[in-house]
Amino acid sequence: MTRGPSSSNAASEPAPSAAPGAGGPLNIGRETVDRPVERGAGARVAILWRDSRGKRHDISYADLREATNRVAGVLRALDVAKGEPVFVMLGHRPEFATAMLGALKRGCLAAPLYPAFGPEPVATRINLARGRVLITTIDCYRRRVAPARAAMPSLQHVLLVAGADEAAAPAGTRLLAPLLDAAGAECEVEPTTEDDLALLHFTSGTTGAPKGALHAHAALRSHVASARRAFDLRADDVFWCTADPGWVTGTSYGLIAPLACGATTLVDEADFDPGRWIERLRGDSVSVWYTTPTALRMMRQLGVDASRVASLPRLRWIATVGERLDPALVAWSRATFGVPIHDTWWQTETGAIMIAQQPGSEVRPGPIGRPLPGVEAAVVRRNPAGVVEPVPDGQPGELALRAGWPSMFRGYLDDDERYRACFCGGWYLSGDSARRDAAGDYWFLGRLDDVVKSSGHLVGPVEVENALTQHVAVADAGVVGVPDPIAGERVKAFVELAPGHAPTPQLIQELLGFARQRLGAAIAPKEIEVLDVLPRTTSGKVLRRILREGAC
Amino acid sequence: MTSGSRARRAPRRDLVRAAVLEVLQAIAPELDTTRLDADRPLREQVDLDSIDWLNVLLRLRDRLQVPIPDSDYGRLTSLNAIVDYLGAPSRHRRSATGDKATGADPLATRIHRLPGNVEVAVRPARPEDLPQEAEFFRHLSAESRYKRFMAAIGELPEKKLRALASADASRQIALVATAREGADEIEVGIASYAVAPDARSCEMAIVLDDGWHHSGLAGVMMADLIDVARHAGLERMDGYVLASNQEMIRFARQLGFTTRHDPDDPRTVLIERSL
Repeated sequence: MTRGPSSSNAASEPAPSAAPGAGGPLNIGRETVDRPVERGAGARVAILWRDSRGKRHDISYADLREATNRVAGVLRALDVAKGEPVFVMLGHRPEFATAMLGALKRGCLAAPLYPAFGPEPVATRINLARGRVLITTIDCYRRRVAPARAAMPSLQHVLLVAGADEAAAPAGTRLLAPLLDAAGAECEVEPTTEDDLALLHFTSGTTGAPKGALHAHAALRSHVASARRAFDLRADDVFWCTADPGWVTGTSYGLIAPLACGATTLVDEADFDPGRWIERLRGDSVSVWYTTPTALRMMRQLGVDASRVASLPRLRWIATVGERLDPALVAWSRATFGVPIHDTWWQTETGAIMIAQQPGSEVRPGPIGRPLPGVEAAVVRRNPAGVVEPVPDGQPGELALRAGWPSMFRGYLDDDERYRACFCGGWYLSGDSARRDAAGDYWFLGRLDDVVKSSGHLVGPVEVENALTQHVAVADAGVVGVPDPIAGERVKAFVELAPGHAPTPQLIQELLGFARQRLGAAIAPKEIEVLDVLPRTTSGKVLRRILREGAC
Repeated sequence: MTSGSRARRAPRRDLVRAAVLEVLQAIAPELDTTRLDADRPLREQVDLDSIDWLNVLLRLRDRLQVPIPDSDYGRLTSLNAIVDYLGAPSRHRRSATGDKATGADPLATRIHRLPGNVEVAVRPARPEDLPQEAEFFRHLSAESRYKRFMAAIGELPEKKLRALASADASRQIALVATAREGADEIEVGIASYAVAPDARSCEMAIVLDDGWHHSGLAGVMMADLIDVARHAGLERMDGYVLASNQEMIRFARQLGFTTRHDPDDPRTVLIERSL
């Protein structure tokens, strides 16, 4: 990972870690669904699901307990071992919750995959973890997994959720429903400890393959504490996190945090639709809404305003994540929803919100807020000796966190070197550039590396470049993020053509389609530009910085 | 509105269907439109993330000139549902062909307020503008003229000016921007296009008075020109820019033009966009 001046001592410094099994007993699956039932809240609505047609389904904590037990039972029956990854590639539907939490109850490593990934990103991630088990839908399997199935030799159990008008499982897969029926409604929860690994979230870096960030069951403590502090989340709240399941936010805050707080989490299956979203906020009495600046900008772009929204008496808090929040959007939100937006800052690696504009403090548009209780943050730089030192207030530096909070990632899958490189002098170095002002508020400035931040998601340039260079007409490619009025950044590819190929509009369209089929719409480039020659270092490495500067 | 606009002759539903398919194809080039099930939601069949979907909706809205209340976006799911919605006649909607009766004449004068509270009017050039137009071109710096006409010419021939001032948007159009200077209304910019022999694409050009660069005028004039071209049923707009005119190339990209070097002339860059 590129993070400013390289540190000579990073590799020799022991990375913070805890021995598996060292902590006390803790299981996220048990804490989120069994505990509320034991406390007598079994009849409360855990998941309020709106299916794609808008029909409401209430899933109680007691329902969820039984459904997760059945998933754990299926995994046990298939001899899926404790600590083994279980990939879950599902959209906004209750099976995402039952698969994830069921896998956790079995003691497995629950690994969500973004259902908009194309076949190549899916295969890369499953192969990195040598995954044997995948739970997805028939439709998703056909479109996004089957084309690359031959490239995933480890994949053994593909368990499919059927849609309303689907019945037969494609070759090499099984329907999940009959297996669930055969499993018992009761299941012993695997006795995990807080240091046993629980979650595997993939994220992207500047170089090489995606990184699999590993989190332990202890992460639950940070999920709960941060939701209480940053959202004041309580059991009588209806909480709506619009993040896609498959990214870390969809798991930490779409699933674990609200259930562990005993609240109701709203899950809406439909794709973005401004009218329907307003209907959700009002009709389902959402009190706390966690979304992205991109989604809010899309609503604004499509004409949503105060006259349309009218009053939302239950809505008391809006928070966003993933991108810089501009003051105009904060003002629009206040005028439209009657509530300003509060920024939160965290990463896949931090597992939970670290810095936020918190209840009880004055809302100032611009800064990301202050560290939550128990989080020690600093703006630092590495001096020439490789030692981390703080920079004075007001000056830019790298945002760093004192290592050791409960949801801190415990490693990158099979990549200890990259993990160690994230720490120096007892600090986790985030790779984000920030400054702290005299009032103590932190300001996010941007990434220090070449990772693209689009619609709140990280896109690794190498993965996109590798897909493009598979095309016969492409000699080389450089991928960067360029400013986008809605998505913050959008993925743009610069390509150098192989000899004998002309930069026609038809070729550009063909390359766009080629990349989209392999990568999926969410990470494929939105724009491709042909350059005669890509800017390179003397060693031949593409200079993305030059491309980025020339692109805007 | 002009005669000869193909947009008006085509049945509205076919027009909408063609527009939807073309917009989808532009965003998702891998799509085989012949395999689309017209009754199934598009997003179940085409890989579109939310930004792609937003772009589909905004392009359709802009292209067909149909105002869509935010509560109605949810109805635009399948190809047939979109054609039903956007293709239906409605007295609440403006006609896609810019029918004067609904007050959407694309050739009406448009008033714009630029940053700094400067007001400009943009309207089609008229024959009586000719003397003023000749004056305008005489006042341009040699550099501006060179960039606009690619060759340093002294004065526009009368014939060219006369052609620019003919307000038939299906063949060519010149929009002039005027601003008040004391008691006078002076011409400060001209944006024009000429339709290619295929009757589907047009070649654009724009030139501003030297004092009006960086005023925001170029952006509003180009938006107006694109709007007029769309209403005339044109499908593409292209233009030639000197490779050395980096400012214009950047500006064109911001307006959604793709740029590439002219294979025939290394000093020239071709700019191009669909409408």
